[in-house]
Amino acid sequence: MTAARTDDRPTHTKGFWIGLVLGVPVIAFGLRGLLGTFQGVALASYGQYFVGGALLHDLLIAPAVCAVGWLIARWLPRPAVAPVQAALIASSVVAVVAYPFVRGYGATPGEPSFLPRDYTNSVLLVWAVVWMVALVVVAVRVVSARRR
Amino acid sequence: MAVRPIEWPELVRRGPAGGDASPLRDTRTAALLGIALGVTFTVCFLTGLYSHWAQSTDPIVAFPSRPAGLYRITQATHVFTGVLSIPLLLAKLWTVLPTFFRLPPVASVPHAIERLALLPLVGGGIFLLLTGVNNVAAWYPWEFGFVAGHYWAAWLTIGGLIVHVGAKFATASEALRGDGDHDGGGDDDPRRDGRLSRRGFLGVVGGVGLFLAASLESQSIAVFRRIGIFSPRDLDAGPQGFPVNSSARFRGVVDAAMSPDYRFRVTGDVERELSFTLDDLRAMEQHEAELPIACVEGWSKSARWRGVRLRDLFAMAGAAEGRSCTVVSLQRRGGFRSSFVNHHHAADVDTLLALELNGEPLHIDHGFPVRLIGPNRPGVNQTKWVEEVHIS
Repeated sequence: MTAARTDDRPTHTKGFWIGLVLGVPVIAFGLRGLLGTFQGVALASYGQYFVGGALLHDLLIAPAVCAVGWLIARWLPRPAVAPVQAALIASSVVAVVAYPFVRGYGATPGEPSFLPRDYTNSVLLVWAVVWMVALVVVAVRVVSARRR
Repeated sequence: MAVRPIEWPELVRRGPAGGDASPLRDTRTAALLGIALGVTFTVCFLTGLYSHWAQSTDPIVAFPSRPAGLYRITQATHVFTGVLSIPLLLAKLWTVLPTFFRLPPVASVPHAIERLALLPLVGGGIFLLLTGVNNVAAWYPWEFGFVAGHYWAAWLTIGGLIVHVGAKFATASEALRGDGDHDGGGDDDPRRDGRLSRRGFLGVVGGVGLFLAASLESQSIAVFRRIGIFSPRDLDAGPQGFPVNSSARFRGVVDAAMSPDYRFRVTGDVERELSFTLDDLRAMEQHEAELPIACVEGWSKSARWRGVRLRDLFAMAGAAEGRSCTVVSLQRRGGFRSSFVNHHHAADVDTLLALELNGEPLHIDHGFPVRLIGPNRPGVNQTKWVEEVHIS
């Protein structure tokens, strides 16, 4: 079976028109509220984060992930590919989410309850567990492949 | 116009491990991730609206004071589903990546509209998750107000989501009706070529999302505390073993709060304005309530509070039935120096001007001499260092 691509189909189905009628007023409401709230520097900063986040993903993160994937396919023996893929997904997502806590810019002196941990250690701990599991899985796969 | 199959770029089309087109790049994977995101974004949106309602000073319908612990649940859910959405959104974008580079970029006018609606959806989705996590970490590297910015982006994103669901509904349901290709290929699927199966991919993405969401939300949900290595809060730290968002020193209220000249006043639309010393308040009839502080950042902790009922003060001042009030802090700057208490909260027997926390006088960082505490309220509206109740 060949995978059907999302774009292979026409989009002007009945659902499309229903979604348009319901969704566009909601977008317009949000846009009106946004432009009524922010002007000048604030609006520019808003746009920078709103569009910048999408561009950062499309132009930097996505190509980087593809490049890493290509390297995995090229350099890794086949039993190692899936576990390494899984470990990379898990460790990079953990790093992304933990980043603001690792930097800790929001910490206020004299507030011991906020950002109490060394989040770098937390990230390293997760990475250690994830990669240990990945290594064990790879080892098991190699051994069982040899036995066959 | 006929749509040509995508020829470029090969690396993108094939997925991250070469070989044939990846099963992780097919419509079924995109549809499954789409449904998961549809659920998390909708729950996040609704709980966000609930929080916005709770913080509005002039909503069409007054925010209820019961159930007392509802806000802590909705806000923990908000942060949980938001964090869970991060790997789901990244996976979804990765799955549909080849369609970004399709040729020609648009096939028809409806298709152009559909692609245009991806800007509020994707831009807004990334914006919401980024600003949301940053708010939990109290890091604001931008030039706009977080609360309004996050709120309006939510409307843009949900609007974009509605358009997108409409456009993809037929394609997605057809892909999910399925024809036996349920796990994206076992070992014999030639498309896999040693790579993660669809099930494996979705499992890793969902698993890491659930782990991170649970770990962060151990700041509210006790059962997750064993994996709380990413919790932004230590619920047992802080004065009196209770967390603090902003200290008295940070807010510049230490002198005013400790002053022997401190007076607590009831003013506004009343028969008689009142003024109390701290000892006057202590001499009044005291009541106890077990209520949580539930912060918008997603942490919450319950405590025993003891103090004077707000409704008793209303009665003493001779305020008419069904009145609301604004509770004003000694704090001179900052957006949360006062909070609105609507008629539901003002009439609630558990809405207190608390003098004690867990049987001890309030620590100054918890709002000494007097703080507001009420059921089903966001933490930012549990005003500390209260000097005035202005009835309106």
